[in-house]
Amino acid sequence: MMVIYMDPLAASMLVIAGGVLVGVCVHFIPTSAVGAMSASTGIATGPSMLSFGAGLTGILSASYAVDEGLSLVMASGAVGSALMVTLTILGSNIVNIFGIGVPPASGQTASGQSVLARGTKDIITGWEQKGFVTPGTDGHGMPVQTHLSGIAGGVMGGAGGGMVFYGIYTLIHPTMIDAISAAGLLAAGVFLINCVLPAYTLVGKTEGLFDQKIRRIHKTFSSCLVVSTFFALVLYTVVVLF
Amino acid sequence: MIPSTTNISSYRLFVISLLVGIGAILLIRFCPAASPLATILIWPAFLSGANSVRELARYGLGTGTSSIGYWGAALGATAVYTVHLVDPGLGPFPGVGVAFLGGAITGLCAQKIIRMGIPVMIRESAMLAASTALAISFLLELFPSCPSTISPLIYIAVTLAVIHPFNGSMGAGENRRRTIRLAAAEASMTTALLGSLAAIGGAHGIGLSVAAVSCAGFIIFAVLWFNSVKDDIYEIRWTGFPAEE
Repeated sequence: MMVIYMDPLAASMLVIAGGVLVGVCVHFIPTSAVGAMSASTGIATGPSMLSFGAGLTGILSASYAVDEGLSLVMASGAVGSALMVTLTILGSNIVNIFGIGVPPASGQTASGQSVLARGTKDIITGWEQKGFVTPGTDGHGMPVQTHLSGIAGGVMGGAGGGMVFYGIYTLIHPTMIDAISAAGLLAAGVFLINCVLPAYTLVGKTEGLFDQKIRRIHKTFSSCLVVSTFFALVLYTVVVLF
Repeated sequence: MIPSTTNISSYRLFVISLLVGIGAILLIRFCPAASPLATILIWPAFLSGANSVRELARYGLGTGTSSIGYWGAALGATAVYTVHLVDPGLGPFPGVGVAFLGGAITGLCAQKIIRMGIPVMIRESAMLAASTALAISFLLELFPSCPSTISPLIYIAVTLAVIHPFNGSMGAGENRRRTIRLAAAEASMTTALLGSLAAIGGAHGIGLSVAAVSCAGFIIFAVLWFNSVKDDIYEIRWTGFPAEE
């Protein structure tokens, strides 16, 4: 077993960086409340709740690697979180295709508004999207490009959650016996605070990296930086000065 | 005739809940015999939290109602648990203060950087975070020996008690009186649950007295809430139909 010691200031920086990464990840995970009616591309829930679910899975898997160092904690968190997002997207697509009878199609790409794609084709597969979107809807299910964006979001969220968890654990473990559970609880709190803020930037709906709303990512970055800095400062003060 | 509960302002409700909530925490810590009174005094903190969720979410957040509640409770819980790391005996002031400040800063980011366009954002998010911090601090006092084991349950229970009243009453006929009464019923239900767990966990005297008072409160508030629901249903009974039918 390897015990890692980190400077409290560096650990606080890790909490800030992880918090910001957690906020940014929400922009990449495709979610939409009206996705429940297959009226929009994205997983049928609010962005913050899905990101929080992915983050919790990431923190849980990161905690298994806490004695192995930061890189493995981040990797473990990233894999756990990405796996959770992937399985959720797979489940949603199965329900959409075999339950409702609609193919996965990107509404933004079909209308030519995708940020990275030119025309109306999926940027990864080159499959046409336009003819597959049901009239009156903004797409349905998760096509390949949206799925990959979700995986990238899961990786970022899990790695960010792992960083927050590891930073807090490093700060508190010299003074506490059950530091892992306390660090997990506090990391979940920081994760939740940071992943709700971007949900309001996204106004409850995004297709991920290819959505026009990705251009608002600077607002998420700034707000999560401020909030994470505040909580890192409180943690640092509590642990170091007292 | 059901007395109206709609006149009290959000700010005044918070100040009352802050004063009596701090009193409740100090009472249960230093005078365990007064735990029934302390239980009653902590309920306004739940009402204030539920009212803040309502004030924020009625601007059309929809599915964001639960997010607002989780966010506010996360601010309160994170602040309280962080202060508990130093010394659980520090009292409620630092945790509630940090939660209030954190709520204000987060609300400021939402209002000024994200531009959510909710005029009460800063005030209500600060009050929501402080109210949940009060409720969590009180419930943690019931479990002095195992705070980290019970903390996740306390966090989720308090979150549900503040988000569900508005979420459950949401719709065209939502009004403050019904939402606040449902919040009171859920507050007493939460303290009953945690009181019962404290009694099972070893704090028999305090736990049982908290649970007994909470059960009595739950019956009273559930009847009041049911009466509100009945009144409001009668008000809208003819929607969509001509009155003579």
